[in-house]
Amino acid sequence: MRSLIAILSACAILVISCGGASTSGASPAASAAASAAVAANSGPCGAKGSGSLTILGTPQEEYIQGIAKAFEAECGIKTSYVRLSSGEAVAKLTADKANPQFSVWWGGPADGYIAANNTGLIEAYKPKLFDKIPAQYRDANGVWTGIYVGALGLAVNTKILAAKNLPEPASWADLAKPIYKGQISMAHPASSGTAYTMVATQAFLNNRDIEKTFAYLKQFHSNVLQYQKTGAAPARLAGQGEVAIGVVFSHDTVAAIDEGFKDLKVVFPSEGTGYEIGGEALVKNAPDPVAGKTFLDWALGVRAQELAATFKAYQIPTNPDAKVSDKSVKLSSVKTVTYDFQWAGDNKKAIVDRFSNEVAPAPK
Amino acid sequence: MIAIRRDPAAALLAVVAAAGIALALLYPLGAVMREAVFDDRGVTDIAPITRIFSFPVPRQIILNTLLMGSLAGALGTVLGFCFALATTRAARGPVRTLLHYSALLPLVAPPFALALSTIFLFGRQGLVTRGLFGLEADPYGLSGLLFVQTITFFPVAYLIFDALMRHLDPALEEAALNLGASRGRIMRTVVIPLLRPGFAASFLIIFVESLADLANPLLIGGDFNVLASSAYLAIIGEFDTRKAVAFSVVLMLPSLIAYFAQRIWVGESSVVTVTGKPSTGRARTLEARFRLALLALTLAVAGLVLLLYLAVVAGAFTKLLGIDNTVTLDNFRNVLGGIGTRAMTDTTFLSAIAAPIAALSGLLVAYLVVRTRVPGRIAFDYLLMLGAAAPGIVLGLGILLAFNHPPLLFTGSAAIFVIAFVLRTAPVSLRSCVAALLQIDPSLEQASANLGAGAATTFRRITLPLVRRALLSGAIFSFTRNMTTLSTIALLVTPNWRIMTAQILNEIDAQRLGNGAAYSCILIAIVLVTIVVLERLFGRAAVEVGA
Repeated sequence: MRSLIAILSACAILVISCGGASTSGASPAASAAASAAVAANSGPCGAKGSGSLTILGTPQEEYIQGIAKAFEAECGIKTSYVRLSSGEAVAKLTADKANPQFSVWWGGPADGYIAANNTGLIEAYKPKLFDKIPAQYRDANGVWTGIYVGALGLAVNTKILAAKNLPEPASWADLAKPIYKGQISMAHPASSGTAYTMVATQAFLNNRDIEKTFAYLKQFHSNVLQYQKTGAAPARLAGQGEVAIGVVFSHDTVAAIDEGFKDLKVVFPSEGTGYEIGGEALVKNAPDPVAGKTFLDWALGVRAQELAATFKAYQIPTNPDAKVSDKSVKLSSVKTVTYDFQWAGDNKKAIVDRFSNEVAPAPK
Repeated sequence: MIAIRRDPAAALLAVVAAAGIALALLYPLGAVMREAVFDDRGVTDIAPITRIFSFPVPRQIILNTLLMGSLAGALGTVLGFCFALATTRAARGPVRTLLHYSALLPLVAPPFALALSTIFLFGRQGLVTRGLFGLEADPYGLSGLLFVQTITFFPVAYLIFDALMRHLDPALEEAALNLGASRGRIMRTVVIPLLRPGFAASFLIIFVESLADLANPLLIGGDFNVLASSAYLAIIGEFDTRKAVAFSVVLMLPSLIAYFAQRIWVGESSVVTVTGKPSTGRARTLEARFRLALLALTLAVAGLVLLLYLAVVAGAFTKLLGIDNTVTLDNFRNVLGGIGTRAMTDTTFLSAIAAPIAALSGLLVAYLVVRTRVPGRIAFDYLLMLGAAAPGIVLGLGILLAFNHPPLLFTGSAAIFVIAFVLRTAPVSLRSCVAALLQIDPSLEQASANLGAGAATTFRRITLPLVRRALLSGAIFSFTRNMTTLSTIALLVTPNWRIMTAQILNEIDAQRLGNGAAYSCILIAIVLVTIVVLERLFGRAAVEVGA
């Protein structure tokens, strides 16, 4: 027992000392980026407002954290954030409606922004570089503005498929075949924008025929191990071999391969795949709209957009002047569906509701 | 009325308890219940609830939930009883200490850490199942859930039985032994009947905890859907409060039924063993064979527990356990370089404030219920229990809805977390204090009163020292649950206060398992150090008083 306590306290001391060493340094990538940002000092920093800002962020944590630190270093506005998946973010904004905690919502598919706008949770603001962003990547009225674009794909673990003698899936139709039972992971479309993009993609492939779409989803559901909360998680689940296939944005698979999941590869379904435009918007009745607007302006700048890749966020920047990482998947090289964000956003509530009631809890 | 005039202290206590419960518990729950009955225009509409019963899928969810809660309650209670029996009667010295601390370990860890290491060790690519035995195990579903929940919740039963068994008077068993009863018979007819409140309390608490558990069904439940996760997803994904509330109302029913059943089972049977008369000797009434079997079982489980947590530590110090086993400190650097440091201090601070409040609230209500004659006192017991019976996510939502506008605008403040923590953990303190008070002969307090001491003095000088152990269990349980709870605070996260479990769930759900493991190690270390310190400061004193 003494030795147990000794081991545990040694562990505690190690943890504490390691914390002491690294609090000053933060994460190496983030601090390097932050100091580079200070040196360049080229970002369009506007008014500071109250001098502090809270961001509701939806992309992967490392990306939000890095961006928040860089913005704080560059514009001198003290910045904190909470990371929530797209559906969770809308739920949070709804819950906080009477007393908003966040000034901006940043990242996550535009569908979510459209749904949020339909219930009056965000308000239109055209950032300074609004006109610089191609028209298809922003709302004409400035309800939301695109910060990045990414294509949906399959994260396929080739080693697991080989071990199980399973063919590599090539299409959405393949994913509904019984041979992949228990071998597919996806997030829940209620919480995850990634998963909702997949569901909406099926609707577009079926000419918006909801019945046909749900007939497919029910078959697909039979193969799903369990629904995660966060959209990017299935890439790592597939990487660890818990499942053979994850339905995720392709940039999340690239990031997972970067992290060491070497057995993964990206496959784009042959029927055509969906894609996201990651949005940003001002929260209605924001506690600090001035600092919020400064952030929204800054986030579209070339520097902020190019920072993304240093945090393993390999989406394609919407600012045409920003350099595209060679790890990013060019949208033009992938067969995509015609993704109608307005339709997807307007129908999000009804489709997610039906998925939650009929598909996700159904026996397999 | 007569009772109140005779006992002004009890009346004051009742008023304070009533005000606290009404404001902090009933008001938020009322906000949720309003959603269940009225639609957003204020028209009565209970369609969301009736809808649950009219479709096969939600009906299956209800059955799943009941099955999971009952099995986890039974398994956890039996295992906790075995451990308490082993530590009080079968094991000595270092073996006893090993069992004691391995039984506390699951209590100090966030539950999803266990789900995480279960997947590490016994998952499809598990180091044990696949690595050692070449098996393709599938922990996703009821079996995996029960495995994780039993190990997560049996410490609750262990703490309850441990506190009770320390208070058993060995003289009773010696008397039975002297009268010629076999050791097996003594166990059946003396020890186990004395522990009946413990069995009832731990089954109830584990049943309710299991029903309210959110993280494990999400992470390892597979396609085994339960009410809590359904309610959670309805809120977190759609902010469909009416749907979530419908699931929650259905979820609260079995919790309340379990509670009533427990009341009937324990009944009014007398379990007085602390009589104030000196007793000597040490209870060792176990047959040798049984003792060996008990030690073998508990040591095997202890080994399993340690293995599971070693996997968490291993996961924290490697790049990607099982994929790339390079030893690294990167995970800790990621966690502590980001907002992890803030989360550490914030969570510890809030938990430490809430723990003593929860323990004392539980004790005061227990005292009110067991010892006073205040009219309607039983209602306090039932009402406070609502804090544990209501799923944490609904409690959290209720708090958010209730305290999100003036004059009670607490959103984003520390108070909101403290309220949530206290509501959630005071019932456990209540149960263990009730169990302890039932064991103490009221004549001790009557003697004090006869000698001229007031109610407050008697409470402070007689009752408090005797229930100290139960109170300490309550405080320890509260602190650890505050540190490790997720569902209650899932909707309350704000940029002002960082909660570690929310961060860990983020990491694990996103499958950044190394970061999640590192976070969990830090959390476990904080809680363990606190428990060891508390046991050192107060535990020994409590044992001395009890002996």
